Amino acid sequence: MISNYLPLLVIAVLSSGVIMAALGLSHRITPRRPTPEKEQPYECGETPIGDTHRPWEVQYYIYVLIFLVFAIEVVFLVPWAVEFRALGGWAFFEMMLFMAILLIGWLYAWREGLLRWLR
Amino acid sequence: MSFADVQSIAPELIVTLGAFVVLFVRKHSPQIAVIELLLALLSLFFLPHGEFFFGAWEIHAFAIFFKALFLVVALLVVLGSPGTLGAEREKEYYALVLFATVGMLGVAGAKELITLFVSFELSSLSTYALAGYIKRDERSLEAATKFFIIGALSSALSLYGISLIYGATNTTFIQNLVALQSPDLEIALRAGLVFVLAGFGFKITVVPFHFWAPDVYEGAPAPVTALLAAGSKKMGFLALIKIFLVSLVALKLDWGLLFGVLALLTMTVGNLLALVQTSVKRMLAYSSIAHAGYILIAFAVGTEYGLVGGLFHIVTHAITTAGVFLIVALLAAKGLGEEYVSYSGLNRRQPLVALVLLLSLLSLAGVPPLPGFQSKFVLFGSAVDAGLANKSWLVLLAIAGVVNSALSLAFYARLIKVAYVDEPERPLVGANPHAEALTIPPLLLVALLLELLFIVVLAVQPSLLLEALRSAVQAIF
Amino acid sequence: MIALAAYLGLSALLFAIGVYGLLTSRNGIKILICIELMLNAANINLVAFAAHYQNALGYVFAMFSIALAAAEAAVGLSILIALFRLKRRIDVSLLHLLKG
Repeated sequence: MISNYLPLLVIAVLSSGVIMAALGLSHRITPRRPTPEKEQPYECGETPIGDTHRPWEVQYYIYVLIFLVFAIEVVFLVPWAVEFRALGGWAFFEMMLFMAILLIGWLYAWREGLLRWLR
Repeated sequence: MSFADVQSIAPELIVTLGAFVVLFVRKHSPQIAVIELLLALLSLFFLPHGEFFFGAWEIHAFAIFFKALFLVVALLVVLGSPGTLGAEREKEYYALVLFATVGMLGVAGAKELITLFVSFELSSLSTYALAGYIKRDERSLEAATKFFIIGALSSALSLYGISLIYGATNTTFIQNLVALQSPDLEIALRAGLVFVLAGFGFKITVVPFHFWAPDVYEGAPAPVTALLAAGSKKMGFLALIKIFLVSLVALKLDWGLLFGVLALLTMTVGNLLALVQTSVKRMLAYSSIAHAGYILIAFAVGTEYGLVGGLFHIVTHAITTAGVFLIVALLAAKGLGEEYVSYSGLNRRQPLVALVLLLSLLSLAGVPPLPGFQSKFVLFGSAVDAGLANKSWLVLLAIAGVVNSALSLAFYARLIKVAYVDEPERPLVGANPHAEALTIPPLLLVALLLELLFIVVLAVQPSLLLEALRSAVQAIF
Repeated sequence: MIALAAYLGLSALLFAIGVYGLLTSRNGIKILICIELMLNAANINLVAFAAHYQNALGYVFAMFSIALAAAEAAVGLSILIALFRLKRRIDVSLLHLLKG
């Protein structure tokens, strides 16, 4: 029934209300004397170096692409692990084959030097 | 799973393994790929027939026929690539071609929508990467971007359609797709089929969804274009046959008129736009759209004979168009360019290339007795047969097809005239540093000879292929 | 239980938003996100039907399509990176796309 979800809605409204109230209140009552130094973005108390809006290193995306393969592997691993006993030996063999294929992809990336951080 | 299951995916295993070997061996990539493809072709003779993997996979004459077609197309593309691709790194290219082929083989064997969709995507994803393979060429990358966006839209549409079909029938096994769970779900099934038609329509370049093809075909490296036009597009037709022939016949839905209108629009628009192109690659792209229109006639007819005609035309168009694109690749790689004028005096430069070009173009136009004529004859003949039996508008469709073929002769003949009659615009050898003498790379020579053999054998003995096609069609009808 | 129709409505809405975004946005990353939206709309359909029929096929299909969506995003992202390296922008104008 849809009414089961009513408490969720109440909590969502309440929690966002509390946050908005807190932010709004502090915005209204805090005194503000901005100086150029205060307006700078926060970087652990140091003076910021360089622009915040610079693109990520392209190299980073290659790591993400390689990681993505293994992240998605879990989609198949978890259901297989849950039903491990019922599925039996062939399924184990198939899963190993699947992981071997992924491993080949990773080995290829390694061999081509894609895992080395080039600068 | 049992040992017979493993046996039934032997060609796929061989080609996958070949792709891995190509990825890890630094030299001789095309040779390894050729050997693997030949081994896979050989393994087709030893496949066990029947159903495998709990009914998700099937091997019969129809599946084997398409597997053979895809392997031959991949073979031609691999043979045609060394020396014409123009990329710095080559092994990934051959691996991707092999992966795309595995996807196509999977579509041929799939008897179930998950298998079909995953194989379809494997092939599509590989071709997106292939289209953008020349990373320093802006045109190639733009083509890849376009191709990726259109392709992703098409796969999202077909996945959405498949999800509705699953909802209406509670199964993903193709032969059960007609078991509606309740009568009021028929609307979901119909909507699903429309989505799937639109999704696959992009892949096979049916007219409202064709606009991307000329840009992508022009921008992608020419050997890749050969794979797209001869392999990838035919895979779209295969998937369409698998889903639609079963479901439409069993549902007693008559979509013949819809397919007839699509066929008429597709061939007419393709041929008319091909007339006005100046780039040979774009002309061939539009001609390939027009041929998709001819093949769609088989869906409008919907009889066994019609399907034989459709498959016949799929084969002849796949092989001849691959040949022409490989010649385009050769001339582009030798710095002659992709315009009509680049082909002037081709006969004097390199008679063999000119001869293959001549025969392929005449076959595409449908000049007797070449294979393209034979397949059009069967295709249009089946439309006339069905038209005389009950649906008289099919006769008009056949007439439209004949008129279109006559129209198409205009632009094919123009290229032939340029190649055979016109004086070479550039000197034959020497003066222009880019226009080197037209030497054919050895593997490409093999591909061209195979083309020649195919055209001549089919022109003399079409019954060889027709028999195979009949038994293939009987396996699914 | 929420009625099946509610899930189907949600997925149709998501799919429509995805199509709209795909047709209107020019940024390559935005287009990737819209494609994900459309694929996930189909996933909602699959899972909703699977729950309705108590049939695991729909869940299996949804898992495969999640993996495929990831692969598609990976290929799309790679193409966009290559485009960015060459041209320093990832705009994909629709007008350019439709030029037949």
